[in-house]
This record gives sequence, structure tokens and C-alpha cells, in this order.
Amino acid sequence: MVKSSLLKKLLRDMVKSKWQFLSIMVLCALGVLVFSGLDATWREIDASVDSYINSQRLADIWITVPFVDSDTENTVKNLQGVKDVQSRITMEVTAELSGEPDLVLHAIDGQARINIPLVQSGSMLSESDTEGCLLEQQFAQAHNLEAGDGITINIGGMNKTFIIRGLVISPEYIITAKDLIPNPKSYGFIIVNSAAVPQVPMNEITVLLSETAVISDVRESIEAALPYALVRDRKAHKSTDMIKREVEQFKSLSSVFPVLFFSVSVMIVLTTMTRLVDNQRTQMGILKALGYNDGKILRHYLSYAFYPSLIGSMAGLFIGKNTLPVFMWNIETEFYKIPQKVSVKISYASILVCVLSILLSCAVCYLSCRRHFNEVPAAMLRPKAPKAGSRILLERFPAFWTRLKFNAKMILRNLFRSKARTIMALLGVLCCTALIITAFGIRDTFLDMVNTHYGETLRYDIRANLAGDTQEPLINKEDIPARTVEGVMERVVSLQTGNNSRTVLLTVLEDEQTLIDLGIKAQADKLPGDGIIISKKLAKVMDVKTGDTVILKFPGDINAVVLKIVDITSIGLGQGLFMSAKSWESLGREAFAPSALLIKEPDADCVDYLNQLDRVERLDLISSLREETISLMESIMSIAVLMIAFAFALAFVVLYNMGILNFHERTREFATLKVLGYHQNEIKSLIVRENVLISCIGILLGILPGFWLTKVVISVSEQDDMLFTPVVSVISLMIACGLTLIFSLLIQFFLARKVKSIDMVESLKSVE
Amino acid sequence: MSYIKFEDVTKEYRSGQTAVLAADQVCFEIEQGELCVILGPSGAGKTTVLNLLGGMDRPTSGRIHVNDKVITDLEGRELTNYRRIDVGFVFQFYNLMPNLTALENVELARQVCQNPLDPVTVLEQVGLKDRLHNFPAQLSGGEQQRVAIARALCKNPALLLCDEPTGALDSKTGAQVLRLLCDISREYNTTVVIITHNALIASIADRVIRLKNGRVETVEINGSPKPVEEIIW
Repeated sequence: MVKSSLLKKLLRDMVKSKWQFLSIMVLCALGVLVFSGLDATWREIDASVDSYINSQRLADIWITVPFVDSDTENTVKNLQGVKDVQSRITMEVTAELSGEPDLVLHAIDGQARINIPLVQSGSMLSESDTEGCLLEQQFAQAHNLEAGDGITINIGGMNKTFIIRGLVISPEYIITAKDLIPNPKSYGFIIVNSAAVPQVPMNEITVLLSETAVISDVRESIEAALPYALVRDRKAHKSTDMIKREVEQFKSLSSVFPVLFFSVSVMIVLTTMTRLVDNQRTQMGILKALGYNDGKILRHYLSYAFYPSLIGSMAGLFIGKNTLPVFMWNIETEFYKIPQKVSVKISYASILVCVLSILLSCAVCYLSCRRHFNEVPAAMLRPKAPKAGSRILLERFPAFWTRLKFNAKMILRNLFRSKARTIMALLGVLCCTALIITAFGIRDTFLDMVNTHYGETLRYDIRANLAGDTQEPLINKEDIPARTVEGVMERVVSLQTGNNSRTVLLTVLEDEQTLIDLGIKAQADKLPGDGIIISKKLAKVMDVKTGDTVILKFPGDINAVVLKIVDITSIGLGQGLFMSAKSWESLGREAFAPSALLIKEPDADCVDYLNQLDRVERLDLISSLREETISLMESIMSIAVLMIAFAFALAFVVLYNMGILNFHERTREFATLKVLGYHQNEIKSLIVRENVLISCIGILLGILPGFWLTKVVISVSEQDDMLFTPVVSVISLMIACGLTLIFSLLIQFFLARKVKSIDMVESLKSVE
Repeated sequence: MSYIKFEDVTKEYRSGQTAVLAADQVCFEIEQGELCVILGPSGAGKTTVLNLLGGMDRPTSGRIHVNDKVITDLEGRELTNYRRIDVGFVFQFYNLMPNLTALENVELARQVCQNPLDPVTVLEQVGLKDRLHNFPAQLSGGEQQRVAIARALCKNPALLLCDEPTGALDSKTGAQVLRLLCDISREYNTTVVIITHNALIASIADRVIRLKNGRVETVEINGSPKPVEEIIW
């Protein structure tokens, strides 16, 4: 009986203050949701990638050598820790398709045991099939090819046509990007049997290690056994490295945003909870006077906190886990080709956050109750004396205070009187502003990087990639109809410092080059005659600085080169090494021979001229590269959209909640004003102006945290081959602040409409 | 015609199936400048009548005239203007703004009316010269009620409505407040309507309207009202 009447009271109270209970639920849900969602996102991507690369046996080590014979293969196979090896041909070929796209050709002898492709349509390639091939699915789709179609490729100057047996994806190509951004129209991979290309020697060994092997040890023993080989492990393997980094990014993101969301929502839950319990003071007194003991009353009021926070947190836990990963998966798989999403269980961390949110709600409820229990029932039955007004700090400055209008004074006093409410509302607006600034900041930073890279760093308009070891005649730069033409030579090298090693691109530039702005300080554009220039991000990753020496290893060459870093340059996209042709020649290797031409201000007929040259393999237009990069990154921007959505949800609940609280607590005051003859609009404007003031201050205070958050997010999401300089443009700043203000105003106007509903007669009867 | 005239004013409160007649065909008149007491036990409909007169509520039927205006015909904004310009209201529980000082509470009323009196002068008149800058929580009940009266007076209203102005006060302070209301009525020719259940107070009034069960029982004109000092309760 006792139980049911208290239960009835609980349910009726919940209906009566449904908005407070609802906002506690929503806030608990939001706080937990963002965490559990992002947490599950990275766990699921991670698990999916791991399951993919394990089931398709992704190589642990790739060894590039001039040619593989059975001796080399056996040498590697017999090393300790090596489970399996498979040799293959890996080379770049050109497909006879529109745009002359590049394909990486892999040719193996027999069935693939390592880096096994996964057939998406069609069938697997049989061992004896010298006519068939497997083609990357995305590449095929971009060129409207299907299983059964033919594809002609140019291998070392000879055309050969293969029949596509199947369209595949491969754990080696989770992301297929030549430079940075995947572009299936111009780059992909093709797999054939080695018998189909007998003229090409095997030049790569893929190595699978046993579970217990230590990768770095095996790598070292391979390097010792095959000193001329270029050895890469998964960390140096671009595709694997990029997806692993992506997972890391989400992991770090899930430690930034959720903390912010969680702390704000917890704080708001705490204030709401405190008010809710405070308003029950008289009823607590009644229960006590009726003879209920403290424990029973406490249990009753704890359920005020427990049920809504339980429902909210659990809902957040499940909704987050089941929505965000799906959403992010769809965005991610536009870039990363992973066959199947592996679901993961809800992580302990998420459960912990969920439990924490329930516990905190209950704890604050408990503390508020305890505070009241210290009073005798008689005191509790009397209404709590209204909070006394007091002078505020500003009044100590009469010069300022006396100049204020009456309403302004009243508003300021009010703000200072309910400090907790003011601070909470401030925090809500602050976080909302900061999050929106961050969302815009991510966008700005990215666009800034792209524009700097393609507009300022790269000063040329067209890049003509030249075929490598062909017999085609050399191109005379002077013949190209353009204002400036310069040659660059690019080589893939292994860069080694003390204990770090990475495969990077070395770009050799003409001595007097002008088309790549490396921002070399002293001599403006003039490259140093000796030594090497390293890009800033690479220097950071490799932990080297100007004056240090680094070791460069060229594939297929035993002799390493030791070079001194003479300068560091800021490059946005694609990190690497730069040196002058003069410096290159001094290494005593082959002569400087451009592998690409950089062209500035081409004449109208330039593109046609270049296209008819056999030596020119492909043309890259800077303008279209820039567009492509931007459009591809736009989908990543959806994270920003997601953030804005959450920021608004948070701001809405906080502002609405605070607004309602404020309104209820001051109904009597507003009713008095009504009786005194204040028009509705005058009362509304009082409420609105008070909150606009909070909003404005909150927005101003949110700007710096917004910048800071942008910096943090950028730094955790920056990949190794990108260098971002966090920027937030003035326009973005204005939009972010404006949006927050408009949003807060809308809520205020919505709330102010309630003034009409105040019943003067009811509100004035007696102090409740 | 009288300054105030109630014509068959009926107010019915409905909640679900049950209806309560709080005012049942109430008719009375009050002349300008009179101090009128509306007397009755609790539940007689006093507050309802005052609320209707003060423009805070609307009757179910009937008409209320105040100074040639039919306030029952006024719509939203006009009704607010009536409260703003014509009426001063003193509440039983003072209803002061807790975060405004005594002076500021009076200034609050001055903000919205046309011919306000000087707040400091009014507060001096109600004897709060030294308490101008105190917050309500720092004032006694009687002082708070006097601030509330000053707030109503400052508007220089033609009609002063007081809902149990002494209800929450001890007899000595109550007497002071009544003294003040009498003085105002005589000095400014303000029509003062006081609601009370305390029959003793009736003897200081020019006119006493007795209510019972929502109906007017009697209306007495008191030719020689007693000075406040002579009544004791």
C-alpha cells in the first residue's frame, strides 16, 4: 500500500514536471550516445579491418628486389619467424582506357596464399589461365567494365589484352591511392598469372609471419640477408597504414568530443536534479511528518534520478552503438574498401560511461535530499525563504552602475542571483559555439590547406608525367607552348634515421626552379647546392631537425647515402624530401632525368601538344586535382555536420531546460509584473533580453575554446602525409556565432510565449 | 453615476463536472474618494470580486463600470493599460521583487505609468526613509507591506485595491498600514477598496460591503468612520 501510493506520487510528479524529467533523460542519452557511438565506430572499423586482413592473409612484410630467384625466396623463407612467402611481379602498367589510367600489376605463380583478393563478382582466376585477369572492382566500375569484358594493358611498351574473370577487392588495397586521394578513374590494380607475362621477372616477395614473430626483428634479419632490398612492413605500407591511422583518429576523437558532451550534460543534469528535489522540499516535510523514515523518503527521491537517467543512459548506449557506426561506416567505406562490417560487443568503456552517468545523477539527488533531511519536519513544511536579493559586484562601480537603465539593472541582478542557472546556460551556449566553430574550423583548415597547396606551394598549372624507361624520344622543354616549363625527378626512397624508417618520395628539382614554393628562407626559392630539404610533417614524424643527417636507401641498391638536412619546408599534402639537381648529381648516381614536367601558364594548344607526345603518360591539371581533393574531402566533412547537429541538440536541451526552470521559478514575479500593468511584450522583452545577454557572453566566451578545440581535433585527425595549419575564417566565425545566437533567440521567443499563459489570480494567491 | 458599479456580476469556476459560483449576481456601487471595505468570511467571494475589479480576471456574466469605462468590455492591451494607469494593487503577500531594493521595487512601478509620483517621496511618506536601499529579505513584514503600498501609490492611481493588507501582519503594524491607507484616501481623493475578513476594520470605512456565499448581503454607508487608533484587534 505504502509502496504503491509513493509510486503513484512518483509517476504523477514525472508527468507534472515532464520537461525536466525528459531533459534529464535526453541529456543522459546525449552524453552517453556520443561516447558509445564514437567508441563503437572505431572498434567496429578496427575489428572489420583486422578480420579482413587476417582472413585474406595480408602480408606482414613486402620485399622489393631487382629480381627474385628461388635462392632469395628460400633465404627469406628460412628466416626465423617467417611463416610463408610468395614471390610475385609488381609493376605499374598503363591501361588502354580513356585517360590512360595507371594500374599496378601483380602477377603470381599459382594461387594466391598471401594478399588473397576477395572476388566481388565473377570468379577467381584459375592457375593455368594466361588470358584472364582479376580487376579491382572500383576501377572497373569507374570504367564501366564487368566480368567477361576485355582490358588491354601496356606492359613495357607491349599491349596485351586480358579477359576480366572477376572483380575483386584486396586487403592490400583497402585504400587505392596513388598520391593521397583515391581516384578509381585513374588508378587501380590488376592481378594476372605470372605465366601470362613471362618476359617480366619476379621482383617482390610478400612475407607472412608467424603469430609470435617480432616484426622489427624479422625485418632486420631480412635487411641483413638481402642488403640491396627495399623492405617495408605494414607500417610502411600505405593502405594498411592509412586505415590503421583512420582508426586511431576515431579513437582519439572519441576521447575529445564525448568528454565535452558528457561533462556538459552531466552538469545540466545536476542542476536540474537539484532544482527538482528542492521543489519537493515541502512534500518531503509532509512525508517526514507522516512518519516515513529517511531511508524510505530517500529511496523514493532517488528513483527520481535513477529511472530517467537509467532510461536515458541505456537509450544513449544502444542508440549510439547502433547508429553512429553505421553512419560513419557508410562515409568511411566510400574511401576504404572493407568487405564486411564486423559488429562488436558494447565495450566496457561505454558501459562504464553509462553507469557513471546514472551514478552521478543518483549521487547529486542523494546529496540534495541529505541537505533537506538535516532540517526538522516543521522547518521543511514552511516554504523556503525566497532567495534574498543582494548587491552585485558591478554596483561597486557606481560610475557604471548608475548609468544603466532600470531594466538593465534588474536583468543583471537576476543573472547574479541565480548563479547556477546563469553559469549552466553560459556553458551550454559556450559549448555550442565552440563545437560549431570547430566544425567550421575543420572545414576552413582543410580548404586552406588545399588552397595553399594547389595555389601557393604548387605554382604550376599542369603536370605532365613522363613514361620511365621507354625508348621514346626525350622532350625538349623549349618546344612546349607555355611560359615556364621545369622538370622534376621523383624517386621512391627509404628514409632512415636512428630507429625510424619510412618509404618516402624524393623530389629532385631543377637548381633554379620557381614552380614549387618551398618557402626557403634566405635565398628565396633558390635550392641549396648540397644536402636535402625535408618537409615539416615528415621531420616531425621522423623526429629530425635542420643539421641532422639522415640515411637514404634506393630500392635495388646496397649503398646507402648519408645526407644532411639543410632546411625544413611546410608542405600541406604529401610529405617528402626535396633536393636540387646539383645536389643530386653530387651523389654520383645516374644523371638528373625528369620524370615529370611542371608547366605554368600554358598556351591554348599546350594540352593538345602534350597529348600527342608518346612520352607523356598522363596530364594532371592542378585545377581539377584541387576540385577532386575538395569534393572527395566533402564527405569527410559530414563529421562536421554531425558535430553541428549534436551541438544544436545539446544547446537546445540546455537552453530550453534553463529557460523553463527560470520561468517556473519566477512565475510569481512575472504575475506581479502583469498585475502592475506591464504589457506582455514588456515582460517578454525582459526575459528575452536577459537570455540574450547570457547567449552573447556565452558566445564570446566560446570563441577561444572553439579555436582550441579546432586545434585539438585537427591535430588528432591529421594524417602523417598532411600538414594542417588550424584556421577559422572570419566568415565562419561570424556564421558560427550568428547561428548560435539565432538558435538561442528562437528558443527564447518560444519560451516567452508562455508569458501569456500566466494566470495572475493563481500565481498571487499565496507563496507555495 | 457612481465611480464603481457592479451590475449583476457572476463568476463561475468550472472544473470538470463541478461548477463553483464564486460571485453570484453581485451588485454594488462605490463613490469616488471613498474608503470601502469588502467584508466576508473566507469563501465568500471577496478575492474574486477584487480580482474582477482589478482587471485580473473576467466575469462569466455582468458588467463592471469604473470611471465611465466598462472594464468587462476591455480587451487584452486595454485591460493591461487599465491596470497600468488606473489601478494600484496591494497584495496580501506583498509580492515584492526579491532582488530589487525597496526603492527599486517602487521604481519598477514608476517605469510603466504616466504621472508617477517621486519614489523617494512616496517611500518617505510610508515611513521608510531609512530603508530605501534594503532588499525585501532585510525588511520586516510591515515594512514590506509598506513598500508594496508605496509601489502602488507611486503610480498615482485613481483606484487602490488592497487584498487583506493586514492579513500577514501583527496588530500594531496592521494599524500603521491601515492608517496609511486612510490618509491616502483623504489626501489624494483616491478610491481605496480593502478586502478583509476582519469585521473590526469595517468601522474605519466610508462604505462596507458584506459578502456571503458569493452574494452581497448588505451595503452600509458609514457616516462617521472611526479613526484607526480607536480600533483594537
